[in-house]
Amino acid sequence: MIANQVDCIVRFHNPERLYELQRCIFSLVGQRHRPLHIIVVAQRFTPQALAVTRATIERLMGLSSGLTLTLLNWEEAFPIDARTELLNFGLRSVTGEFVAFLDYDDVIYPEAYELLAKRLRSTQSAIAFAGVRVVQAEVFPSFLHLAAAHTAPFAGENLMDLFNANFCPIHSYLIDRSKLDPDILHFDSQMTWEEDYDLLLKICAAYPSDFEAVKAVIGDYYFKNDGSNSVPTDGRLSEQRKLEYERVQAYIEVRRRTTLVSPRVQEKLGIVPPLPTLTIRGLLNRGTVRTTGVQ
Amino acid sequence: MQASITAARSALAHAGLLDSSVLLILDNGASTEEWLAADALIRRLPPVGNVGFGAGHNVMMRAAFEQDFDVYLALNPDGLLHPDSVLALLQMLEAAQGRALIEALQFPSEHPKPYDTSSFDTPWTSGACLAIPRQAFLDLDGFDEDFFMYCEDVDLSWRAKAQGYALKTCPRALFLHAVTNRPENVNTLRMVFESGIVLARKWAAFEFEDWLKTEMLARRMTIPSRTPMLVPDEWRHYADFSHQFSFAQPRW
Repeated sequence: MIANQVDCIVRFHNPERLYELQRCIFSLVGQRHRPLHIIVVAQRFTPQALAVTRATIERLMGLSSGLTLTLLNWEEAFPIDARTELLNFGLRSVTGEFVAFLDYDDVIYPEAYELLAKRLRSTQSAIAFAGVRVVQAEVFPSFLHLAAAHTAPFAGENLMDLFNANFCPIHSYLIDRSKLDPDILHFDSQMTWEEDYDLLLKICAAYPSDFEAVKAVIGDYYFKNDGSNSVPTDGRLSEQRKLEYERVQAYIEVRRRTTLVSPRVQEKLGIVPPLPTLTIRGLLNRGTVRTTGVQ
Repeated sequence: MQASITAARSALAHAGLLDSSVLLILDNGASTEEWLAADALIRRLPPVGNVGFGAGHNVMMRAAFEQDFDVYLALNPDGLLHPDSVLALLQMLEAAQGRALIEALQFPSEHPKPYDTSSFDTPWTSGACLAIPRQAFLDLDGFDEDFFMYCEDVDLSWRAKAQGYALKTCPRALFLHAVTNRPENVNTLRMVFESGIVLARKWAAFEFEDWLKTEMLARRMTIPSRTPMLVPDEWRHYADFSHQFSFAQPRW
């Protein structure tokens, strides 16, 4: 494990969206934190598409030092929607102390990993959260126009809020691999929606988490007007998506009902002595607990 | 700053201008010569002290345009040009027939001031990464050196507009600049307020000046006494003081 290195996994499934990948990578190149290992995971790209992707990224990597790149191509035929598999594939190449995620069409601010790493170093927490802004983007052929921006778009500011509902986009947190069992860092392949929330529930139930920086905005979550977001951004769901949403919510609830909250996490929440069989759902049903920024 | 120079070099190379460009450096404090890698692209100007943002750029612009360069790109040393930026800026300047100030797009956190997605017109242009053609420098006499730092770009923009120049944002030209989560700095705030008062006086924005004075007095700051020359009355409608320091209706 390379001390102090942040590994950021970027999944990229459509070679026609190189412009947005460029913006994502440029925002990573601009990170103040070093060393930074960027892991881009493509989905069934042809050799030509992979070569173009590599060239696009490498011309940005050359702008600064302390950066390394791993470009992976997931080549399995199934599942068709491999977004979760891309994350797991990327995790297999992680070598740094810290791991983060950033979707190809989002960006983070230059101080993001520096801020989050500082939180992790100064606490016992295995994961640190900050805030992300939602920006409404109009997609033009050669640029994106931001029409609006919303700070604190998702309700929530602490661990109990997170157990209740996901308010933390995938690029709003940094994980300290040195503080957790490596087996926990795995996304459930059966989920192609809320797969990141499922992982957060597992980690945050087992290990202390830090929400002290949750009001600091460290990046933008792009809601685009061309329908290319992987999750609905206009509040409307088709019938098929509604069914899928309900299936995912049921799965998440199973996670809440079957995941034990560790004694360390319970103690941080003020449950002393900790209850040996307390699940996330049991914790939520208990009602108000202490909810300081550091859990 | 080394990264900034590397990025500028990359952008100039992509535009095919490496052999016909120069990177001017004007140190305003300690010399950067010892720790910056030697680079044939760099030309250092003799230091003139910490004369302020606008005055410093004016020194460099005079040097550039005396050497018959056509365009000056004002560049903050703490930012990074995307490799496509210089070409995109120059293409937009050419499309405007050289009668424009063209700013790069602040990235990743954009300034909330608006720009039109067809004409790319914007109410004012930021000096952090700004393409200024030679004729504009001659017509406008560069930045107003009454401003030490802040608001001189707003002033330049409004004067440019008053004299027939377009003001444009080039969204294909990304300029990575860290502007978020900065700790509050009293000195920076003081400079912003002082420059705001100079701007208000110059453009006869009395209410804005009064508001700033209230803010400064509440913070026990000294109100500046500088009284710049007023702009002509017919220019004043180019100014917008109705949105505090956004100087334009912000997008958010």
